[in-house]
Order: sequence, then C-alpha cells, then structure tokens
Amino acid sequence: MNCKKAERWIPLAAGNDLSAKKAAAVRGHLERCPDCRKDVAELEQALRAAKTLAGAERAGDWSEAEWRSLLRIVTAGGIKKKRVWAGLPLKPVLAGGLGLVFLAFGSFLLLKKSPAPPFTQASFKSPSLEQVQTKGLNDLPKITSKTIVSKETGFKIIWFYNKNFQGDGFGK
Amino acid sequence: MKNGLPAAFIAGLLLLSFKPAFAGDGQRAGAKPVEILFTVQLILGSVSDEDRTDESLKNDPVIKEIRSLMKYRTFLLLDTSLVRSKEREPVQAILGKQRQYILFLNPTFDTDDKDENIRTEIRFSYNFPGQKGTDLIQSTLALKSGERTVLGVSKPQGIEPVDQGLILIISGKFIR
Repeated sequence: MNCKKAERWIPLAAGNDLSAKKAAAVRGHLERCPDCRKDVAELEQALRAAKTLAGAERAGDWSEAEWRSLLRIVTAGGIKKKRVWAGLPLKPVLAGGLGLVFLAFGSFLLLKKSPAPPFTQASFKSPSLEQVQTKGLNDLPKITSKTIVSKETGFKIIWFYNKNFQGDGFGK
Repeated sequence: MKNGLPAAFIAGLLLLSFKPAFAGDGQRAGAKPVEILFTVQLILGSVSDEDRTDESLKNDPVIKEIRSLMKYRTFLLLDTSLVRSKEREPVQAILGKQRQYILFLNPTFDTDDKDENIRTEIRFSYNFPGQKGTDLIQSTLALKSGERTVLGVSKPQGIEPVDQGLILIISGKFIR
C-alpha cells in the first residue's frame, strides 16, 4: 500500500468503516511509514482538541462513534488539491494545449498546397496573347521533343522539333 | 473546467471541417504570395566550320555542355530578359531584336523542407510581323530554384538541312 491510498483509508479505518483486510493493510502501512504515522497523530491531536473545545462549549455529549464519523467527514471531504503543472491548473493547460495542437494541424491542412489549375488557353488573359491567337496560333503544329542527357555530367537539354521552325532570319 | 478537453477536441474537429478561404485566383487568403524571378537567355545555335560564338557565352558552362551534346558550334546571344512572377500568375516576355519572340510562363511552386521547385507551363512563339504566328515550344517544365534549364527548338532532321536552332536557357529563383 502506498501513502496516497493510506491517506484515503486512514479516516475510514479510524471510524471502523473498513473491512478487516483493508484495516490490516492500513495498520501494516502505518508501521512502515513514519510520515503517515505522523499524519495520524496530528489527526488524533486535532480530534482531541475538537473534543476539548466541544466540552468547553458544552457539546461533549457526542458518542465516540459520532466523533469518529465527524473526523472521517472532515478529513475525507477536505479541500481537494488541484493538480498543477508549472504552477498552472493541469486541466485548463491540457485543454489549451490540445486546442493549440488542433489549431496547428488545421492550419497545416489549410496551408497545404492545392493542386495547380490545369493549363489552358483560357488561363492566359493577357491581351497580347489574344492578339497573337487571332493571328493563327490556334492552328498549332505537332511539336515533338526529346530530352538529351549527358552521360558524363547528367546535364539535360529538352529539344523540340517543329516543322514550322524557320531558324532566326536575323541573328546578328 | 471538466468539459475543457472535449470542448477543445470538438473545436479542433470544427476547424478541420472548415474549408479554407482561397482568393479567387488560387492564392491563399492572407498569405503573402511568393514571387519568382525568371532569367531567360535566347541563344541562336548554328552549325558552322568556325566558332564565332559571342564572347559573353564562350566560357559559359551551359554552352560548353550544349556544344558537347549537339552539333552547333556557334552560339549568338539574341536577347536576355528578366521576368518577375507570382504563383499561378501568367507572365510574358518579348524577346528578339525585332521583338519577334514571345515567351509565356505560368508558374506554380512546389516547396518542401529540402527543395524549392518551380513547375511552369511554357509557350514560346514566333510572331514576326507580316507572317503567321507559330508556336515553337509548348510544354511543362520542372525547375529547381536557381538551376539553369535548357530548351531548344529546330526543324526535324531529315526534312530540310538543319543548321540552326534556338536555345532558351531559363532559370527561376524565389524572391522573399
């Protein structure tokens, strides 16, 4: 049994509300654990002080079982310690962290590239292209191409063969 | 606070189900569009006995590679242009002494942790005044940022003597 479990069971054991097996386990733990023994001693002392005060207030006609029950209620219903992480409440931090993870993942999906739109004649809105098209570019010749790759360097040339090519009549 | 975790979970699911707000032209709303600077060199390659290559190109490593792979010996720089663009924003450059060549680019970007790549549709057209316009190159290119890519066009072999070819050296670099 560890201290955490013992801490939960000690008030029950004090009120004789534990099974014999569990009570024996608590006693065994108390024999081994000086910290828990100290806690029990403090509880007993608090109980005695409460009884003394109650006697002064003339409220001392409670039975022992009632006092034990009160002790159990007080200790079991004590202020719950909030779990903290780096000085902050754990659950809100977890919730915020998870939210941030979702935000980051969502942003990643949003920013992921969408496929490029297909290239079409209509995708060119340039007026000068339209001027060119009116001059006959719609009658496109069949253009064949080949890729020439250097065995030594891997250098590539993409070469097109076009029967309408006339060379450059101007050059220099 | 007991409901904090489920509430965050539900909020996350709602966020995931929310469709992104894209602007009409495909740009991400609120995101600064990445720009790219294309550098384009238009070069005329020709078959010749003697090397009359422009001085500016003589020591160019790309020209040396082209020379080793193709039959062209003389390379003349016809024009150079810088074209600035954004993703999915078609741009054009007019090239040539007579402004007879038009280059259209329609880039999209593909970036990951390691590489920055550019995928661009490309059309290279010849539009000499008084003649019928002709598409010389029409393709899709995958470029690595800062890397020079070479394209070229010539007449098919076997139809007529092939003694000239137009070469485009294109590189794209992201501007941030």
